[in-house]
Amino acid sequence: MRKKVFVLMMMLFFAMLTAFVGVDNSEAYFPPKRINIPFDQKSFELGRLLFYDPILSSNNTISCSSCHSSYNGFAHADHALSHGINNSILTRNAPALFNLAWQKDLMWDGAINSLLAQPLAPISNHKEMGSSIKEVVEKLNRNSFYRLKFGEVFQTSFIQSHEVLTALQSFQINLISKNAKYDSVMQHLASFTAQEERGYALFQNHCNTCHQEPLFTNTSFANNGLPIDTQLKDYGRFNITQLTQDSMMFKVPSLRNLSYTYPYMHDGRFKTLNEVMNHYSKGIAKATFIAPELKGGIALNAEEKVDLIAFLLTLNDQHFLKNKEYSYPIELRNITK
Amino acid sequence: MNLRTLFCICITFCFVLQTHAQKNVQWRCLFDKETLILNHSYALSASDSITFQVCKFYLTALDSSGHSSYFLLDAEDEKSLLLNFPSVPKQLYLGVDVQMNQNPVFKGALDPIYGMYWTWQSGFIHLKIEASISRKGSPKQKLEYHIGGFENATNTCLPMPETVLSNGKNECIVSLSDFVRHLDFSKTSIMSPQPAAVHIAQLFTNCIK
Repeated sequence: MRKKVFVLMMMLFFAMLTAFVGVDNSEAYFPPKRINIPFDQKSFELGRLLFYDPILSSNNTISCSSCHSSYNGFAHADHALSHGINNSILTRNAPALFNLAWQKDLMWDGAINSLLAQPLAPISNHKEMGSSIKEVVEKLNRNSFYRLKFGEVFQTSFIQSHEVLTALQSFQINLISKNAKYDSVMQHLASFTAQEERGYALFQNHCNTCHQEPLFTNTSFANNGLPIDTQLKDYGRFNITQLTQDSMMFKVPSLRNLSYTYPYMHDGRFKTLNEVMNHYSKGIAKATFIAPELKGGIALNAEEKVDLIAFLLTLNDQHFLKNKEYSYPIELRNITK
Repeated sequence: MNLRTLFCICITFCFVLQTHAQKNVQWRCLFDKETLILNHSYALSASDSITFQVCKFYLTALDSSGHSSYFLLDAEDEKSLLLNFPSVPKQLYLGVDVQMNQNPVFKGALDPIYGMYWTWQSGFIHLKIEASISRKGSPKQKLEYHIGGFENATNTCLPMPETVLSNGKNECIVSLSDFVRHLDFSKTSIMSPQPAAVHIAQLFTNCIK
């Protein structure tokens, strides 16, 4: 009897120890974050309100979530190119937003080097939100709800740009996707099927250089052999650096949540993963500065393509998509602009 | 305490006081010897003239402890031209230093509401000059320089000559007439980081006395 009590006590002790220490192996296989900001619940909540509030646009019609919806992994499904204010069509496919704390440069061409500064781009673009940070700050200061909220978070009676951007950063930096089947396998809580296993081997052989595990991006830029769209004339990174070798280089996107973030590529030219597979196997354009791994294309037969897609689907993170902390805040319905 | 010790303490005290003393410096934007007034025409020659619409620039003041302070000077806003350095700067730079560009904080003078931060790509606009030039027999020419950039080859955050901060000096002159007369007008619009922007930043820095 004594022995039983002792064993039970020990079990309880270890259970409590685990709970207190907060053992979380989920990120043990993740690299260190590039940006480390202590989590602040109130700032996160305020950022969430701003993210979903069209008050950021000049005519209160477009919010960040208009192009980055939670149920699409914070990308914009269906449209090849993003839609903006007054029915404008932009020139790029809205990228998915998650695991931003590990990112170095933002936007398809890496134009933005800081998550804090990033919202200035869509807010000011005349086709996206058509506003300015000055106008946003003025509108927020006229709004009693936001004055109260900012006061609670930043202990201020007058809202300023830095606080608006800080709140938006707090929300976006905490959009973390790490609960896909792949993650369970990495934590030895699940296993791949035989087909997924074959796909994983193909992935490691052909894709892992650019789409590096576990973020499934090396956060760098690459020319992946897409022929130029003669209407959009988007040369990607070259537009920023003016270096010839950067022509047609675009940010390597993460492959997590692929099922929800279609269409694919910077201009959304591929609607399905099959089209993407066909591009890499036989659609690579000849170019001088193409990623060396892609020269000549990736030799994949029909069966291998199916296996590879089976693995890629293990990167879908339903927990991330259904996380209520990330979705539209009901509180927003009660705000009068 | 002997006299020698007292003397050493006094010297040290004076040194600490000087390095931590606040310093007020009045900046003046001049065209020839006149105070620059925006939207006012200034003669370039007997037949040509220039009218400035915007003249704004950032200064980074680096103190001896390695701390940077940032100032936005605007020819339109007289108050912005009286600078109160928290301590005597060790070095002054035109523009916002590289560190702040790489990891921006948008407080005080660095608030993007002042229109001195690019939104389509990261980076502060270190110097903004907008003007129109009238030449006899030619249509009016627009001059637009939004000078910025912090990457190696296009870094336009440039150190100011040491003479700008020489001892006891409490006035700095920005000679816009010197600046304009050194321009070759081959490029009248510079709106992004590029080598030509570095040249303009250097010309502007050379015109600060």
